[in-house]
Amino acid sequence: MTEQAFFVLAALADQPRHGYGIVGEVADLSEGRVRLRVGTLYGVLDRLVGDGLAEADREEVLDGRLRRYYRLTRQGRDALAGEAARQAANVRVATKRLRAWRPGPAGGAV
Amino acid sequence: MTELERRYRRVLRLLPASYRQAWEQDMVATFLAGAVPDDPEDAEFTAEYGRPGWAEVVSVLGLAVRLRLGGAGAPAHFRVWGGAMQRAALAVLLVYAVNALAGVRMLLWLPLRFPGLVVLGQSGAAALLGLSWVAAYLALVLGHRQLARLLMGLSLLLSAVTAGAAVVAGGGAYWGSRVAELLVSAFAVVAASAAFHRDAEPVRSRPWLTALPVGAVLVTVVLLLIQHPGDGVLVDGPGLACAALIAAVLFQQITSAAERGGSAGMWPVALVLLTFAALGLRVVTLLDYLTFTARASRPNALVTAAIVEAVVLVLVTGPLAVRAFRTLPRATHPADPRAGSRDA
Repeated sequence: MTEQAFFVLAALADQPRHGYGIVGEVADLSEGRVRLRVGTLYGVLDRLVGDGLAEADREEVLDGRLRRYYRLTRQGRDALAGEAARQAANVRVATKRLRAWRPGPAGGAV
Repeated sequence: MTELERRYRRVLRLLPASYRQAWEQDMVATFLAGAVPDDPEDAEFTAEYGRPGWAEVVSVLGLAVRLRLGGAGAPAHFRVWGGAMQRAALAVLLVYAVNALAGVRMLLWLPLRFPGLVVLGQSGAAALLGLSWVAAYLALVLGHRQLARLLMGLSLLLSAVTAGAAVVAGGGAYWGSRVAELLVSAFAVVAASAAFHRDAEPVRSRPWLTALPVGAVLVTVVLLLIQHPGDGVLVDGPGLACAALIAAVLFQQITSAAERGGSAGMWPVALVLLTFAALGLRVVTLLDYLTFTARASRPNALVTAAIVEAVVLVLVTGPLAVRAFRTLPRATHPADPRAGSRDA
């Protein structure tokens, strides 16, 4: 799962959101690190909908413009949970190693 | 509709029509929500004079390439185009890799055959630099996309430098052929970079890996044969490419009935793309022969051979092209996100 897909699924985890809402939520969740352009967002959304991980929730008309909301499917929730567990396991391993790390002598091999 | 929206919709025309049908309204709404400021005066100005930024355009372009050269899970129409582009690019890169290996082999063989002969200078350097195509080809076949892109870019740059040096050394002769060869190289690099995208299906590596040594041996044999003292050489690179393509198209026509599965239709389209490249190269080299070999010993025979190769290639590939595009699956996009269009 790409980082972009991961964050889009995470953005949909608490409530259905429309496209612009997803862009803002992903920027918040990643602390501004992941800024989705519209072409990138819909490339990810298309793939998630095609794979059954997300689906359309409802459509609303705002200022004469159609807004489509997306929600996570059960399969999407499982995929996100699986990926989160995998990343958490990676973090645990790296953190454990970092705790054991001791700086070597300056300029030489450890 | 504001000017900004009109401009953005123009950018979205890069996407396949079937995809736009499903997603365009939503993409426009999302884009405008982020592009138009809250302040009414600024909003009015942006709506009239604003343009989609480069980053937005590039993201749509990237999406268009991935969709039009689709990989696993993509509609059949785009999968065929993606697979065809992969095969056409790999075939061109294979030719460069084979030529590079054959060139180095000749470089090593000539001093053995003719003791005392030292092959150095421009031709020796060009032969060694050509090995970067071998590395690029192997990286692509083995699935190292980023490395392959880097090596292909480097190889293209080296080819441009050696071609430029050859044209300067030759006093400008055959510059058209050199430019045409570079354009074919550039086509292969762009096609490979686009077709081997993140979602692209990997190619079966074994046949492509086997083709490299087999092709190098075959080309070495041909090079040795045409260097044999005789009436002169009527076979050149574009001629060999035309002959190989004619053989491949005939083989494809014979075995097409047996073609089944996900890759059906990819090779015919790839062969048509390769025919365009080979024909372009053949025509430009032919024009160069007419310009620069007017006083050579056998210009008429050389020109006649080139014309015959081009005509036979067109006659053989024509029916294949008609069949390939008639049987191409229709462009549709199955993942329709509209509410109520899918089972909840």
